[in-house]
Amino acid sequence: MLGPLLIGTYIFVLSMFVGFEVIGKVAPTLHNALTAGMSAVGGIALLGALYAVQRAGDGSLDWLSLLAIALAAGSVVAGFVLASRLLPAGKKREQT
Amino acid sequence: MSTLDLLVDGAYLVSALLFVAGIKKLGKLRDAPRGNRFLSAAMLLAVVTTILDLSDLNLALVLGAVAAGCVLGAAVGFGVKLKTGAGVGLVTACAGAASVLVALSLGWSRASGAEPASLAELLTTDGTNGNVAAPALIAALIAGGLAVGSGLLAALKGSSKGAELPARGALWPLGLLAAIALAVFISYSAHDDSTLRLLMLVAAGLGLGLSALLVLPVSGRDVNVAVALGNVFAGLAAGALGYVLLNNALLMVGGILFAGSLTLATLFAEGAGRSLSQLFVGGSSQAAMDTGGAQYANVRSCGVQEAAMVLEDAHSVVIVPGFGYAVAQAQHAARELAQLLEKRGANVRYAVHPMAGRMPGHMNLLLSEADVPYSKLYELEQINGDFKGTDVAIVLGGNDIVNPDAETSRESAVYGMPVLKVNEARTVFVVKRSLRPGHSGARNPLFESENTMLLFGDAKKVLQSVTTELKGSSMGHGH
Repeated sequence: MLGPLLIGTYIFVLSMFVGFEVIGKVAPTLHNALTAGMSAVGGIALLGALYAVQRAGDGSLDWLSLLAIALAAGSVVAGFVLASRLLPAGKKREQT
Repeated sequence: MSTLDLLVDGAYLVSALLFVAGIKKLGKLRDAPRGNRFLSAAMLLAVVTTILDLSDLNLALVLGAVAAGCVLGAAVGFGVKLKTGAGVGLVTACAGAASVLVALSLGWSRASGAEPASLAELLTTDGTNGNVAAPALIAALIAGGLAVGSGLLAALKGSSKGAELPARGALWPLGLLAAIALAVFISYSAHDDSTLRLLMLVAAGLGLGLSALLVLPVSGRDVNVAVALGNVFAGLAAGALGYVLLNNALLMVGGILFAGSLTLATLFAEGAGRSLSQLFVGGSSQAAMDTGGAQYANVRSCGVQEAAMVLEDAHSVVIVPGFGYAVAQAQHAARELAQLLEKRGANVRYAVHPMAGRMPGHMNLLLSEADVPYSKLYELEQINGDFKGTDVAIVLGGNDIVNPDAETSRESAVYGMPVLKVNEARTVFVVKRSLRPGHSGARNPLFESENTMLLFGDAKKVLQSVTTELKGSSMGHGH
């Protein structure tokens, strides 16, 4: 029987292979938008922040995880907004 | 495994698939807006699933924090200027900071003994999970610190040059050794709370310090490499948190982000004519030297595949034949590409500069040899107003005839000469064998412009491979 950590390792390593494969050919005009999108994905730490709020319970350090939630949610929203603004179509609209 | 667990992990899997599809689509011009929506949906699904899974959350507080973050994020997202690239670095820094805070909060609550039943199980040094969970926490802090530092430095860089750090060669291995020592020490020796807390702060500080080593030498022009590297560490931090919390979504998305961003960083570095390691050592590019590009620091090149991807979606294309067009006898290859693009619905025109080539009328001669219809040829004055609405301009071996300095810079040798304003097109491909100066010897800022991509090679061969690539991709899409 696989322990949860071994399963975790499997998942992480296989996901890494997916990550290497998923970025193949990228249109050069999309480099910046894709970077912004990936930055937004980094906001997945929001899940960890939700766990942290729960773990901390009513402890006095709740604010740490609440701040983490706000930062992560902010990076998600800002990242996706920037990605859509950086798309060639979005840029065209802003110029006119 | 309970039904709830199955549902949660099922939803996480769907979310991960959406992330993969979204990233894939965001790299393709036609699908890019949908890709962004896929990513947003994936994130929403992951977050809602987690909130539903953690049933005993203080919803009012959590949703309040989420709402506050969203408002701030929207303000930053819509507020920053796109040109500077500061916004994206800030996003990465915030994501990294969130990981650091999560790791600190988890460690702190363990240290203060809150909910020992769940956390002690994860973070004890002798339990089955403990030997990995504590180092994973340290890894999350170091990687999170690196993401914060890289993102912030990238945001602050602007157009500054890379700083020289003489001792970097020695500091890097030391930093890595310190990181490993921390992780080993914490899993075997750190039992009391105050040591644990101190070590966690040291780890986050170590990450910040390493990020300075990593990003300070990168110059402002390569700022997207720095952001991509920040994302590499944000992914690593998320994955490490996934280990600590045994959360599959964090593990999957962290892994994808880590590897995807690493690939992206390599891609950016190669586009700038450098390898990733060269960027950080700060050595100048050998490739640029070989092609006579010593006077150009900020050129970006791309391959024919990437060029074909952009052309695939272009509605209006202007081909600018220059000296290289004549030398390479590229007229038939250009004609073939133009016909293929027209078949795909694009409007293709030729912009003929009176002084292009070896003699007046040289271009018209070659164009008529390739049977290019006269109605598609445009004189300088006829087309110069149209570059603003042009998706792609393809310059075939021209230099002085497209030099924007002719209009703006009194110092330039070509000042006052009428030029084609290709730099107003949305994307400019310059096909050249090298970056050697043109007839006038003047420097051409077009090559360093934000929207210019260089395609190095013989004009005829490059055009032929772009055509082949376009044909292949249209078959691939089943047209």
